[in-house]
Amino acid sequence: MARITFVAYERCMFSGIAGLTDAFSLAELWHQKPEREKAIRPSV
Amino acid sequence: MKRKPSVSKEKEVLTNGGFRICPDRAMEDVEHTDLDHHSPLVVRHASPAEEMPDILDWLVHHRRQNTRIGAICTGVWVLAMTGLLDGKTATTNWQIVKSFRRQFPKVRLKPEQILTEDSGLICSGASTALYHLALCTEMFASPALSRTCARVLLIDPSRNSQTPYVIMNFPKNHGDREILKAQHWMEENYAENISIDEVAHLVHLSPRHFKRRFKNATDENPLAYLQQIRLEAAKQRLESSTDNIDEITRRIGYEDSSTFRRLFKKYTALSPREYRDKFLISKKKSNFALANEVNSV
Repeated sequence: MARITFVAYERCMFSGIAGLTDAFSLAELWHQKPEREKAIRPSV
Repeated sequence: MKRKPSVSKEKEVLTNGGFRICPDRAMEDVEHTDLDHHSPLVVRHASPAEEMPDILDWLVHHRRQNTRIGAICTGVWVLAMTGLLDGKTATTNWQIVKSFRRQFPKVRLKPEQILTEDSGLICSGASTALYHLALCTEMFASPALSRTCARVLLIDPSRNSQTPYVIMNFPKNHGDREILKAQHWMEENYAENISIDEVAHLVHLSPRHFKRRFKNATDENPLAYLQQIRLEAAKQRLESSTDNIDEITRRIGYEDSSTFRRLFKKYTALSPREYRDKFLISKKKSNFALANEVNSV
């Protein structure tokens, strides 16, 4: 588990915070998925 | 991975587009963090250091605890203000490269790169390079997870250069009237066979004096400036026409297409054909229009 801190300044780009937040949220969701659901390719 | 979205000394942070971000806690309340992601600092990158000494001290404090620090876009400017990047490799938004180099000569700036990582300091280039920074960060947790996220987010990990995206900068607010006149003349006549001595004569300066004043005013020598005008013109033609490369070479003032191709590659990291494949607008628009036509039938 990592703790991530964002430092945001006035007039920063909203997408900077939003994009990183979404990217890490997605990684977290994927990380929590059960192993059997993570397979994105059939095993041959 | 667990997120702690944002910290600030202020109650709210107003972003460039008008959205407000509500921080979870004050900066000084963060005792420990593994990864600090620095937001882009688009407008205020040139703020005097005295406006943000507490932020700089805070970053240095966390770096001394071996915290990895990420900076995106012009946020790299703030990270450089801490001195932590001195002697380290970094990248930043290509638009601020010249001023960044003047301000932080000790930083080994590699603006052609989308992402750099040196001694726990991760820097990314303009705007959407933040996704590469996210992938790099996820790589520390799990390379497989990082690769999966690249697919899910439609990020091309092989996109490692921001050079093809650079738009040349032609500064004109320097106040040197003769040099400004020379710039305008070159921009109108770049397709002709121009010699720099001829331009110097046109503005009544000796070639040597002209080159020195030109460099002081624009931060470029006149020949490199002329090359950049021609290459910008070539880029526009490649983006908007189907003219062949030899035709474009002639239209922008070069007789020898191999010289043009070599310079084009040097400044954009792509061949003219590769550049056209990436940026040709009319082709993409016509494809889009065709798709709409098919969908409407």
